[in-house]
Amino acid sequence: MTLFDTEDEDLADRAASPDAGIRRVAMLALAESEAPDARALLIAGLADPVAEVRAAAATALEEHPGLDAARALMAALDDPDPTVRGAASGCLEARREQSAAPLLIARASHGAAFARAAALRALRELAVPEAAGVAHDALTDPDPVVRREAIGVLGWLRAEAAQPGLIRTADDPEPEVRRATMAALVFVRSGGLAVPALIAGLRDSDWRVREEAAATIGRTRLAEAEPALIEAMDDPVWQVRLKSAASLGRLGARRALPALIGALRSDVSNLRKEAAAALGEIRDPAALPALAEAAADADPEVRKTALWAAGRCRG
Amino acid sequence: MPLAAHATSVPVIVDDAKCIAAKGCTVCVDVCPLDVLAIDLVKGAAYMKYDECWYCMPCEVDCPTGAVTVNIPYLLR
Amino acid sequence: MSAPKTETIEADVLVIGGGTGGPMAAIRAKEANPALRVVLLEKANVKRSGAISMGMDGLNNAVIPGYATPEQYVKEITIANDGIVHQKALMAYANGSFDMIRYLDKLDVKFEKDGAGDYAVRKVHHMGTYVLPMPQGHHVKKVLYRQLRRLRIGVINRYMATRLLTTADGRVGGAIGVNTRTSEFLVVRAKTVILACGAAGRLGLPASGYLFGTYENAANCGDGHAMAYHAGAELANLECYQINPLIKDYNGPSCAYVTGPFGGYTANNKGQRFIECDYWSGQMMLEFWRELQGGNGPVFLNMTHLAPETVGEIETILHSNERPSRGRFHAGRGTDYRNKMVEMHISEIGFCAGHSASGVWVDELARTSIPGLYAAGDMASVPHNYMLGAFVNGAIAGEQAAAFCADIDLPDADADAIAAEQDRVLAPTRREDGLSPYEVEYKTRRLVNDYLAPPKITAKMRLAQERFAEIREDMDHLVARDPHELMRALEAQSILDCADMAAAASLFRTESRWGFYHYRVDHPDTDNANWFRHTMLYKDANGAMAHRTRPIDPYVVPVDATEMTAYQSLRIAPIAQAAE
Ligand SMILES: Cc1cc2nc3c(=O)[nH]c(=O)nc-3n(C[C@H](O)[C@H](O)[C@H](O)COP(=O)(O)OP(=O)(O)OC[C@H]3O[C@@H](n4cnc5c(N)ncnc54)[C@H](O)[C@@H]3O)c2cc1C
Ligand code: SF4
Ligand code: SF4
Repeated sequence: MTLFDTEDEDLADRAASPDAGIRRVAMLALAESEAPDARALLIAGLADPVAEVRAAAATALEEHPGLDAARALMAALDDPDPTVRGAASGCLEARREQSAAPLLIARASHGAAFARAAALRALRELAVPEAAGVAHDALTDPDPVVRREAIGVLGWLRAEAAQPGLIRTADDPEPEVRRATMAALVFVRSGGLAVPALIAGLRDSDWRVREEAAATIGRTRLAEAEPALIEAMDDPVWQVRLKSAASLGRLGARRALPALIGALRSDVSNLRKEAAAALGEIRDPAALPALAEAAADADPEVRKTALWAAGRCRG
Repeated sequence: MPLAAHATSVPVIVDDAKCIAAKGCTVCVDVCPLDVLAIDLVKGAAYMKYDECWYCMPCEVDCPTGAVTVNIPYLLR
Repeated sequence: MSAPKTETIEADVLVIGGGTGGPMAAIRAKEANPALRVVLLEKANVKRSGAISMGMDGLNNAVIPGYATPEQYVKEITIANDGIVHQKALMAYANGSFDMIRYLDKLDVKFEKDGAGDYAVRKVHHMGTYVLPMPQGHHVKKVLYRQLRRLRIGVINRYMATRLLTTADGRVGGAIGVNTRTSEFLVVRAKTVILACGAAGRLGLPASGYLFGTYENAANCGDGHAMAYHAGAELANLECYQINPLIKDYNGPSCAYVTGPFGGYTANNKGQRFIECDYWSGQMMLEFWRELQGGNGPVFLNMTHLAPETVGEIETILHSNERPSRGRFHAGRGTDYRNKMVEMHISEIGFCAGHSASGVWVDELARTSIPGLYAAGDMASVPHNYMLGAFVNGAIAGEQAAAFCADIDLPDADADAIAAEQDRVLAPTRREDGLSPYEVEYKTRRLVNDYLAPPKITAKMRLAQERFAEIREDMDHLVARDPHELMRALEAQSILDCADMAAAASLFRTESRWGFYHYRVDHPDTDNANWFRHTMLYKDANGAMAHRTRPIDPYVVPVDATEMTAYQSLRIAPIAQAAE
């Protein structure tokens, strides 16, 4: 009875076959190979003349940690074939190899935009403080995808010092970059430098940015954002109002009572429910009459939440 | 009781032109949880041998050449 | 007749079922003691087997500090199960939940995180916050497989376990399995066995009539339940069926847990919500059924009110994870979430602790009633386990088995039992003509639908028992023309065992409980005086199906009566009452 279904015997021969199809299948099989030369064969495969073989090698290297492999994969980010580049990028991200961080940091400022973004994406989950510098520089990268990945790195690092840079990307021309900024600012504390940028996000022209800002403010419990959040309860997009309601609940914002009670009469039932839940978080008996009304809402989820909230406001 | 030969359509289709089973690939056959795919040694390509599919898609997703298409079985479609 | 080709191997810990809980059990047993011989036996291929074959949309029951406490969770599940729970086992799960999430994270399973890398938990339950999305969930199996490989755990694919081996003194002694491609036998002599064969998902027949169009991974047909039963283990509360609200015909989840946090909801044909909480429970299914009965059906999942960007996000998750062919199904019918509601229906019945509460009885250490035999995941009795429960309880089973086998010897293999089992297994290959496994399976499952699906009616269930007895005789005419058909023929026998268990267990509990799951028309009320107990089903000394009840162990988290009913009235408050 063999452990795992690997047939290692002839993999080296197959990896050197004149037939590209056979080489390609061999690369895939090498992913699970325990053979000592498996990694070397795959690294060699990254230089195969046929793109499909290179892509297979890049994919298979996910199972073989090691700096030489990481280096070869980083080179493959410049491969002429987009499938190979994509496979190399995916593989670098999936490997989560702490020891490769210095190589990735170097790669993040060189080569094509694709490679820079890929290196930053792989760096994000490693959360190594040394990456802060290169990520900060990349905030002004000409390519928006690179900027977005850089923001991701800084968010995961909770990089206080990067706030000036993030304040700039909060005004980025690309909505997706602005949205990523709002998400990354979740580490900001009350009184922090970037708080005004976050609050300004509630008035962004793009509703996804506004929604993200509202959610982040709730997570960070930024009391100074309360007035702006209450204003956001008048946002034309209900999704923004919904996130704002939830965040007002988290803030325990008593001053939001009128706005939240108003939202109990919205025609969007999801929003009515979220408003009721927020009133339950705030626990102000003044909300009781409105909640009693909401307990007869046409939507059972709203009724249930209203009953729960009323219970909390009472006791 | 003698058995009848029973015809049924199969939901999973393999593009013979793309399939590299002849080069040693057996990925889709390996991963199928219902064990309903097989390699046709004459054609050198995979095919669906039994109409017992959970339309779960590992065969399609893991195929290195994009040769497999999983359709929804006719009775459910 | 020549002796069948048989190989025998030895193991300290044998895990049967390499889906979710099984791999984790093997991993943790090996980590607990790397010197142990750990073997993982799988009917399909561990790489892509089980419910999480294509990953999951998310963790349905994450207990993460700051969002929910273990006490809250235990209370919630106790209430959702009308009190019939072994709370210590729920608590063991809840306490292990967050550590398991971090362990999986360390292994590279990807969970949704916020902009600073913290878990982005979402709410579905009433009291706590328990859903942790996994937008890239399709990698789960790859990660598990990698860890099995690193630890050099013996993985044996394409062997279907058919019976457990037991010793004269009532311990477990290993298992016997048959190769699904060659019909060769494998005997694993083992000190401990962990069962993780998943749900009994091929019990009811899907409305489409397609045998494999089940909610559960169709490889999970109740082999584990049948093996445990024949070995003498007790099975708990089997009458508490699994019944799910699913996409009609496609028969997969829609999934309310994914779409709910984005604003999607279940609606009747007027587009109105009628369920208080999209969390799956027997009560929810009862309301679903009543809505259909009341002429307000069909029932739909509504997302038409969501922004196009939001729908796009939902589509990315639903069409690349878990049941990715959902997208293809909708495309075939021209359903676009943006402008058309998705028709839902009530699924066929099954046994699945992952979603409801029934299965092989286990305590808080994953021990069954047979020494050395453990069970985890959808086939073990810990309620509302889901994927994370399979992992946590699998881990507990692995650690316990590793400790247990330290001071015992490898039991002798019972040659007679092995020979008898080989005869049973091979019987369908020794016939030239007779009945095909497919028609026998179809008939059994069609009768399950006709007679066992709720509302449960005593007279119908008794008729079911008569029909099942006839099918049991038909099993002597099963024909298998190749090893693949032999697998199906063996599965048909597990399915019939489960059907018999479903009927017997449902008749035994003479009350209604768990909403639709055990709605008995002849006993419509819940009878706490007599039935606030577990029911246990087992094979008695004469080989007959027997029952007993088991008192509920004292709760570790008290739930007072008002909380129990307060939740009830919240859950089913009609408009008039709620206004009071
Ligand atoms: C469609 C679907 C969606 C779901 N969505 C979610 C979700 O979003 N979140 C969540 O938390 N949970 C979800 N669940 C539940 C969760 O996936 C399960 O509870 C969990 O994966 C069960 O794990 P398990 O180990 O018990 O069973 P499985 O993972 O199913 O594994 C059982 C294994 O046993 C093998 N086997 C069966 N019989 C034999 C035999 N005789 N011999 C050898 N091997 C055998 C099978 O091949 C299989 O690999 C979902 C389930 C399904 C089906
Ligand atoms: S996985 Fe694809 S290439 Fe390989 S055998 Fe199957 S169809 Fe052919
Ligand atoms: S969809 Fe699933 S069951 Fe069907 S052939 Fe592919 S892997 Fe097998």
